[in-house]
Amino acid sequence: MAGINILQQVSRARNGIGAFVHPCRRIVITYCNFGGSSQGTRDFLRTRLKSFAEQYPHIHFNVLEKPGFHPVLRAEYTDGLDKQICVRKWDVNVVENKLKLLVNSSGRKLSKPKQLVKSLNKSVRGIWSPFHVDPSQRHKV
Amino acid sequence: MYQWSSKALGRKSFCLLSRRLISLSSVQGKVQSPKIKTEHRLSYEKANNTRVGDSAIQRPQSATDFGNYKRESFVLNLTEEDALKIPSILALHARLNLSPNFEKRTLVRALTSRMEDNQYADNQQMAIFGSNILSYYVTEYLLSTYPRLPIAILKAATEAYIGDFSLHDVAKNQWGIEADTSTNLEKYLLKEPKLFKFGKLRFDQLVTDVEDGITRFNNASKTSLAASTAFANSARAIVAGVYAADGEASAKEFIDLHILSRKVDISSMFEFEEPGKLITRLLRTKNMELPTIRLISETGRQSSSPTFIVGCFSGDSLLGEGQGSSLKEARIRSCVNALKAFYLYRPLDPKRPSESTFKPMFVDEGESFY
Repeated sequence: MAGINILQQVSRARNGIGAFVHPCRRIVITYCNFGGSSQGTRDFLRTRLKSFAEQYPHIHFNVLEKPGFHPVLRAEYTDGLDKQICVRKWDVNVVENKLKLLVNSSGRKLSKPKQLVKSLNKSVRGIWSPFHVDPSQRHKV
Repeated sequence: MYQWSSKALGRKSFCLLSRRLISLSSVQGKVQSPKIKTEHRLSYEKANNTRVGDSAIQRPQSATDFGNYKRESFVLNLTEEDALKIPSILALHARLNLSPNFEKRTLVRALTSRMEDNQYADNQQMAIFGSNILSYYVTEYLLSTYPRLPIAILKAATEAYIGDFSLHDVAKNQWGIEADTSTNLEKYLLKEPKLFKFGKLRFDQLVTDVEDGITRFNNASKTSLAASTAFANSARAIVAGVYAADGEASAKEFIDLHILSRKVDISSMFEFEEPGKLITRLLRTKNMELPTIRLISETGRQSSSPTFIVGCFSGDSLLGEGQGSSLKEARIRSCVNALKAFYLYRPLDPKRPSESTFKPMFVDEGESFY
């Protein structure tokens, strides 16, 4: 249309408004088949992995034997990020808790939010103007 | 399973549209209804993607026998048993919360693009059909929510929701679909089962990253795709799969949840060249009084930081307000705000034609000038 130009956009994701897609996509568990540091991880794989994986059908669990290395839990997230936790010498309960931590993470680094509200929307108030303040409330010199 | 063909599906989706249009008029019976012209299409579509070569389609004897159009370009189709062995497919199925009617092998098919030397069923027709459903529901949503959008902005907003770049983001960064970029040698060394490659998005890549810092631009063939198009097509194919498995209502809900819930700021898509002239022209076509700009308040005219607030009036009614550090800036802002207030008009409780509570009504006469 004459006189109106277009500024093209690409829609931005708001996970949880509408559908919530769980961010954790894949978990890779590596362990050593004889090392003492992998004892807890091996226990977890033997006794708890099946019931744990059944709770999270949306996650692809991958178990890799890596002889001679400490056990590592690696989680991959939908937006391409990943997180790794070394569970060397940890017992089976700690391994399970670390896995839960990975499952419940969004993949982003932990950071302290500076504002209480984080939003993609513009401020509804617009630019502050002294003329829209009620005259009785105005600052008097 | 489902036989997809562009012509059949194209007509089917057109039938859906025309049925809705016809149901609004009460003219029936002996009176011959005028033919609906299809020249002006609001729906978003890609012209280079909507045709399939005639040799690829097996046509039934009757052209209107839409269920029996068949693709002949593939010889193999993964069985459901095999598809159930692919962990990434099962995970994707659960992540998207798809219904049990949605077969796992349909998901495999949605992730297979049309490729050279590919014997398996690909997603080409599914993507075309999905694109049509997406364009229908997204334009429907935009038209009923913002009935006065200029057509160029409407098209751009549709593109913002269901264009290649947007759906690429949906498929890759929201749904977590992975592209299959590893070579056969790498797969062999990883001892990866052969079936697992079906769990990833496969397409003939236009650009490949050979190794860190080296990018190879391949010779474009008929089937090679940019990554964004390939990902977007897989998302469209999944929408088509939802339609085929669970029907129209589920497909609409799926689009609402995954596509229309995303953020598009339509008010910042406008760029007015001469807002003063535009608002004058608009008011003239609406038979309203021509705009007058009046100063509402000001401060510090002689200082280094003056502020003016002006209003764009038509007669006594205030159309838009603008503030600026000069009179000219404030005037232009007020005209822009007046124009946006008109074009971004939104009914209080917008209902879409596909909703049962929708009542057809006269909303607006459309664009009065171009």
